[in-house]
Amino acid sequence: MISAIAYQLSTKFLEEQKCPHKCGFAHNKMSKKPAAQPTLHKVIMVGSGGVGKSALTLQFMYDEFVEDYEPTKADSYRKKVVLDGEEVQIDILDTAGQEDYAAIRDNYFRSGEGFLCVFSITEPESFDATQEFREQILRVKNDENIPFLLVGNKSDLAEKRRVPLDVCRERAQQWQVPYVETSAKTRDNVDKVFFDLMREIRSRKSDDSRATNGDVKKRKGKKIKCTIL
Amino acid sequence: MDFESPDVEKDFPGLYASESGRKSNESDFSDGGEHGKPSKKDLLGRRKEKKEKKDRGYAALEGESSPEEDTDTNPSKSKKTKSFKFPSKSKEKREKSRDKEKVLEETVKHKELNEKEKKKEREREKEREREKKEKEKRDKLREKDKEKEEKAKFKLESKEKLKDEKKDKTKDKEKDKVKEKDKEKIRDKDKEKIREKDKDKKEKKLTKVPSTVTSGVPFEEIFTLGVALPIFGVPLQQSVERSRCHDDTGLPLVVRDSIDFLQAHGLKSNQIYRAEADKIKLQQLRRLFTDRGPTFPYHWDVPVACAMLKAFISELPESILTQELHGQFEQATAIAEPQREATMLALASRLPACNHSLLGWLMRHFESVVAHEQSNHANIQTIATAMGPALNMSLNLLTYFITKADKLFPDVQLKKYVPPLLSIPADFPDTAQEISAELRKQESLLNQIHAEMHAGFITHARDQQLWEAQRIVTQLKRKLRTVQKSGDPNSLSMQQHSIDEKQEDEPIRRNSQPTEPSTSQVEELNTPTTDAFQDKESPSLTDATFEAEFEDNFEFKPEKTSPKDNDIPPAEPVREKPKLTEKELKVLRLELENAEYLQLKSLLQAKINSEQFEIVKLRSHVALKNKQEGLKDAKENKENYSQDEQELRQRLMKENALLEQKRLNLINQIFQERVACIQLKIELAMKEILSKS
Repeated sequence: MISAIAYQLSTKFLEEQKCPHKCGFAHNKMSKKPAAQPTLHKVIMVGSGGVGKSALTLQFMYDEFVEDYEPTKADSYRKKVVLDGEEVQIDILDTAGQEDYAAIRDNYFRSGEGFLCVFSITEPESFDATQEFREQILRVKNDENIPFLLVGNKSDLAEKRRVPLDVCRERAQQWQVPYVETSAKTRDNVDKVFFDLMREIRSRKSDDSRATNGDVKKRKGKKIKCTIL
Repeated sequence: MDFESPDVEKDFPGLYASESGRKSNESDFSDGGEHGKPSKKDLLGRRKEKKEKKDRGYAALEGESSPEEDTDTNPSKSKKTKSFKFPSKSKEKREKSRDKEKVLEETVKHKELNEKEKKKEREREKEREREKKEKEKRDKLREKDKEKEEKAKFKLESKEKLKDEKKDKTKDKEKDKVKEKDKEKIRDKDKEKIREKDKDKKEKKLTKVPSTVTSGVPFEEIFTLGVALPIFGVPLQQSVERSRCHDDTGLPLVVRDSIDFLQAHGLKSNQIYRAEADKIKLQQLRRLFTDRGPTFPYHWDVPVACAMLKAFISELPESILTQELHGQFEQATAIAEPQREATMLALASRLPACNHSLLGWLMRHFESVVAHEQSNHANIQTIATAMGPALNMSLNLLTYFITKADKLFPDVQLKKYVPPLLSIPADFPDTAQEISAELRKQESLLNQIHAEMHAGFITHARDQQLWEAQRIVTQLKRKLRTVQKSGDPNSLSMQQHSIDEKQEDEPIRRNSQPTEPSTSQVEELNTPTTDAFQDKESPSLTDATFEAEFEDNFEFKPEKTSPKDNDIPPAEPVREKPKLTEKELKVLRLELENAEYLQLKSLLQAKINSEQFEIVKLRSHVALKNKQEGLKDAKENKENYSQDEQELRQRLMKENALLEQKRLNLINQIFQERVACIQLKIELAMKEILSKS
């Protein structure tokens, strides 16, 4: 009997708590962090092994390019950046490409706010795998419009290209997500993908928080300027 | 209404352990109908007792298992009230089941229909569990390829888990069955059906709980994590898995914290292993551990720590010497000396790792307690009296263990536990050794978070914790890499070797020939130094300095690491600290302050969460009480209000008021001390940074 009532109360409590959790990330963040803390965007790198997720991340974080390959289990980074004049924090989670860590990956997907789905333009298998990653993310997030970028990495290796550009674009269009080609080696478009994604996340968040007021600002499609360095 | 306690027990497993144990004992010899009645009466009396206690306020709620209740039994009374009690009971039960149905938003249908649904539910739940387990297994299989050692361990664990879960279930059922037997004779079949129904519901609830959790709210987590994954009364291995120290000791956190506290505060206290623990305090602490909440110094005192240790050990389903080896240990006490030690050592080495370290830590701890006999007046006899029944060892064996603890467990050093950091402080040591030690802790923490999430406990707070821990791991790995690059080749190979050994989770690390002879030499050279650290620390356990440090163990900061820096062998790499300007210093100071306060905040937040939970729980108690008030017969109440009880009640109320006052004072003090601590720490950190740069 006690537990029955406790259960009832708990479900009520749960519902109350659900609301802010679902419909206002900004609000939620405020309650967790002091007001001075800038907004936090959580980005997750996905893609098969060896496509350059870590290389992209490290290039973005520390301006360094690592030649030797070392499979990642999971790594997380935080960086303060200025996004369109506003100071924000970006949390990047670099996941394992290998299936070995799929179980761990799931736990992270749930808390991600935006995804960079990376493949290598020199490796058709990695391109095929993006389909699977996309499905997995949609399944976990249960949201068709989750901020998501399809990223073709290793654009510096144009002579070894094996995934045609139009095929990539086609898939991106089919998913209704932007497609960007990057090179972690030359730092080409590296900032762009992260900033584009952050903008998507930001507009998504403001959409969510203003949905009740009807005051929705679309920030999508704005041109990107590199504000760090 | 004897359901009440099992129901509660599900929410707080083990809360009534002693009670339910008693109950089942009763029913063991109460096959005759006569005995069944008093035992029931006893239970009813207990309920009344509870009601009264609720009046006394919040603190009294938890002391339900006080021994005086047993003496309440009055067989003559039971006969008198029997005639109308049972019908009312079944009514209550019907009420209850209706309530539950409402709660679960099920339409009141035919019983059979309900039961079918329940079965389906359970099956679904089982399937889900199976899936989860399969997933885990798959993961484990994958890891297997890379880490053979891990493989064997994990496999054992998962198997054990399966077994244990089955065992737990059957245990529950058995309990119910025993109770049923008790009552079968006095009850007709109709009632039994209702009972069965209730039982089903309870089971359903048990299984249903985790599924509701996935929606993920901290409150819900606190509500169920301790329920679904208890740490008391489960096999040691499982308990360690669920709540462990994140260093390499492989001890359950409860045990480690208790021993740490006793080592710091108990060795000179004459209460150690002697005084009765305050029940309320004990329950509070126990619940904190069950819910994986943080504990604070005011939760602890010497008798409580002893009782905690005792409770944990006595609730282990198996002897800590294991069923298989227990007899052999006992037999070995009879062997003559030179062979005895060898036999004991051989036997001890056959113990599972977690049993070995638990036994080792306990015995080393007892050893140091006995060594302080002059101040605490505790000898082996004292310990045997207090802990003997829990340990289930003969006096001979226990005496042998304690006197030979240093020989039998030479590798056990009683070190105070330093939990994994919540953030990387600016003054984090740059030595590879410390980095990899911290890295191991963090990885262990990460694994635990992952395991909890896989078990279905996904909350916003846990997500954050996960990212946080992951970030620290990443930072540490990077730091370690830079340190290794700048360090001399000798230390590099040594570090890598140790990492390869201990970080089995890392798939591919640059394996720099761990079999190289130089590596082992370096290791040999280095082990004495580490031992020196440990030795230095272990005597300091009893020092006043340690006590002072202990006061703020809730800060989760390894202060000991800073002085250690100076003792690090010169082989350690160069620090890359830039010169700091005035402005930077200010910023640094503020950053440090910020980090400290953030930590404090998160801790306080956790406390608030648990308080909120407490409030909800109490509300439910109140609601229940009100309901019962309506249902209950006024006569019964009158009967039970004896003079003694009223006196007791008043006394307890007074005591509560006093305790409340004390508590407020302590809270104030703690707050002030915390602020002071933070200031001091910042000062310390600043000085260190200055001296480094």
